[in-house]
Amino acid sequence: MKKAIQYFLCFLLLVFFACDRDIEEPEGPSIADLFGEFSVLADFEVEKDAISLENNESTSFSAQFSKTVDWELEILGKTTGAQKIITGTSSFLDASNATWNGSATTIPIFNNETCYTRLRVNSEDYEILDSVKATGARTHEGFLVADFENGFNDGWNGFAQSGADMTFIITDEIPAGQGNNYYDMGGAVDWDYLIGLIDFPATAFETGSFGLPENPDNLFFNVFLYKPAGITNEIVLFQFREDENQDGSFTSSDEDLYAYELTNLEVGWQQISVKYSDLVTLVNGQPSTPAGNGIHDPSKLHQISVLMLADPESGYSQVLMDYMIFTENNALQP
Amino acid sequence: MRIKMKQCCLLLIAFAFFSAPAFSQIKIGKKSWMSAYARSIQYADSYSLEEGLDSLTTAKEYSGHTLMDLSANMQPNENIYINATIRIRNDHGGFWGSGASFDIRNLFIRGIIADAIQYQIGDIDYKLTPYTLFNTEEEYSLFSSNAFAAQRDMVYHDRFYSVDNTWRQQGATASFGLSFKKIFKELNSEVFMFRLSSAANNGALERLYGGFHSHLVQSKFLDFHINYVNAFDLRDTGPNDNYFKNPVLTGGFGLHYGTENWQFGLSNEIGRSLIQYQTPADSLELRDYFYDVKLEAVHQASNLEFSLGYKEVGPGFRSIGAQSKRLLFERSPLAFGRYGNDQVNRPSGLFDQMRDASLYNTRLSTDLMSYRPSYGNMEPYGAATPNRKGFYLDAHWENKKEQLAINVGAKMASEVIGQGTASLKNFTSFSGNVTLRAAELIPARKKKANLTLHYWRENTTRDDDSEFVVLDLANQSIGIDLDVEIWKQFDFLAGFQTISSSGNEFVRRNDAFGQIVSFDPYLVDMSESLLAVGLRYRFNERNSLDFHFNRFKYTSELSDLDNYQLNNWTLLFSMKI
Repeated sequence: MKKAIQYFLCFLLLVFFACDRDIEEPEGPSIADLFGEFSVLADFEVEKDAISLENNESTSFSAQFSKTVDWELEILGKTTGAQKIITGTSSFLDASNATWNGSATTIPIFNNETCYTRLRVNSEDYEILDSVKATGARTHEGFLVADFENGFNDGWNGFAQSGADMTFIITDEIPAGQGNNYYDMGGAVDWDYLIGLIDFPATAFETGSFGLPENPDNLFFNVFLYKPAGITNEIVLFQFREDENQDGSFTSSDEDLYAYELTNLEVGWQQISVKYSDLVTLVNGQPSTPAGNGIHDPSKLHQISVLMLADPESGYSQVLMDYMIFTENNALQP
Repeated sequence: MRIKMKQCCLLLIAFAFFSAPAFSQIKIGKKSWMSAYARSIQYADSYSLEEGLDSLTTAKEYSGHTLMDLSANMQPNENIYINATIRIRNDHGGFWGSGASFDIRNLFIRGIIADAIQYQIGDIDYKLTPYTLFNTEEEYSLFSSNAFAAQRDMVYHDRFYSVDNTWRQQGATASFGLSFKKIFKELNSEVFMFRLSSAANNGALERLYGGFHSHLVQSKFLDFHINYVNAFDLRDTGPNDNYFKNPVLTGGFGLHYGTENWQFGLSNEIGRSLIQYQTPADSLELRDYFYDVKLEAVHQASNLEFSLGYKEVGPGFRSIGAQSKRLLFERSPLAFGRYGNDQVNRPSGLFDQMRDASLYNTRLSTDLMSYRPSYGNMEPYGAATPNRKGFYLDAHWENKKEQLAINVGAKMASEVIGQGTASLKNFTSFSGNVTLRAAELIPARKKKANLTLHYWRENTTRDDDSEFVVLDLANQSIGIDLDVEIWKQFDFLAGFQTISSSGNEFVRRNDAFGQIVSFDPYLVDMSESLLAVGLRYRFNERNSLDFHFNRFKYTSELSDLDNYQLNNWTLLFSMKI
């Protein structure tokens, strides 16, 4: 009998000691945070007065509140209108949750300008302003095709129809997506979809190639486009010609031509990014079978062409273009 | 180990007929017979709110019904018993069938297989332990005046609340008992499986609730028990991927020792639970444990009973069979359900809870149901209330002539972990009942004359450096009951109960998995009072006619809308055949 009792007691002990508890910390959100009064315990401060974008410098922001709140830190470029938004839910800001490395949340990109900083706690109707100077321009790792900062490259080929109000030029009339200049593609052509185009052949580069890797799954094509308000008929077609046999020329009948067509852009600057392996062959705007081996091979990219198109009956159309760059691993982080 | 078969059978038969809770008594020797419960009740209610605050609500309402629960009892042979109960109800004013309803209220088959295993199929009233399957009494049930009980018993009957805390379920049970020659005396075991919800309901999965209970008696000094329950979904029985399960395993032992004057007992229950929710988007698994140890002592010479216990129930302990509540606080009563010029929902009060069965729950809830801190903040989910640890003490004394009876209880507890803060809530409660029976106290008085006084108080506090976290809530109840036979079988009944609550609390707001996502501040400064005065004529023990007047007042310092009054006349005829 003693054994039976011992077995049972052992079982009970096992039940007890096998018990584990998943909740060890206080349950739920902090009541003090939910219902406590808000006050600023330490003022909002910017760590550095100025940062060098070209040297990839960064700065942090600090503040201390009496309770956990949802806060938003906005950094706004005075000249470019570039914007960086950092958000968080905490009772403090420091280097761990509020550091700015010169990047932008949306384009345009910050460029050698005074930047306004604004910390907001909407739930408490709290807002405070400061500023930081950003010098130079932020550099990005990648394979730059064109940023239009140094004029029209002699190796590029531009073409514009003889329509009305044609503007296939590099200009700086409005703040650029990156740097100071951008390429303006605009005009009205009432007999053809094509308004104008610009070719970026590999031969335009000093090395005679784009210098891209072979893997198309890890490579992103990025470009900034700007649609002016009132434009509704734009069609922007990017073409990527591969010289598969490496003979220095592209043969449309037996080599791959991939494309990326964009319509209905948003008004203003926007970043377009697409993985190279997602590019398809288009015939009259519809996906089709590539004429070559059908293998995406960026290392054999021969030429990029940008065609500005519009329905000839739709009148004037215009799109601005800037900062065409390939990046590896991820789409461009502006 | 050899089992003595004859003893075993005798034990089984005894166990079969006396152990299962809430079974009607079987009349051996009859093949079939009828039994019934009947009542007829008529209410005349009037309502008043401060002038100018309510020009829309009807000031008076009349309602009532007559119903009969008609049971057919059949015993085709000595091993099978069948019960079918039909409820026929006719709301007063519903002539020629309008407002009449017919429902099957009870249907089960019970019997014994091979003189060894007792089974029951169909509707079953069932309970296990306070941590596994237990229908805990609702708030403020510590005191129930006989004047209130006339109607409250009607609600309990309608909602299948038996006196021993069973939940009404549908399914099957089987039980058997064994007696042993050596080491142990006997083993009684039960297995059960109930259907909580069907797959046909809103595309949900079929949900079952099953388990077992074993009670092993070693001797009169020592026994053991083990209990297992599990609520679980059956996958692929419905067109969704949600899944729920809640297994709970508990066990314990009892030590009993007695001398000429004293009886001592040490009982305990420890166990663990797991609750698991799965949806295509998210999932949750929560494990926790509890333990409850109680020492009991009875001094036979003085009729004094005393118990002292300590328990801890983890914050993640979940047992849907033990934590489901009776009262549905989010429901509005049927009478004057909306009030005020904005016709807002009227929260139920003591008066409504005394007589309105629609405010009571009959299903096991997978979530921690909402509760009202002003009605009881310490153990809103009964003994199995999660996140509590502390002592409890009960004492009962009654003199040998049964002239005076005193019950007192006290509890001191705190949270196991904080909610919304590291600081813990502390709870204290005290309750006391004193009953005087004049018929025994005054020799000249031959007729019944009982007076009961009741007091209950509960405090919840939390200290913290932040003033926003601090809370202090005090609840209190005072009750008086008078039950006097004034003339042959005529009783005068009077009951008065007042409850009050003031202070603040933070009520948890849960997500779909029952986890706290926020807190709602709860401010209260209210009082309720219920007065009942009435006459009862007892035709016999099972048949009576009651005529009562009830007055309910609700007052609050926080809202003028809460200051209203309900008056009610009730005529109730009840009969059990």
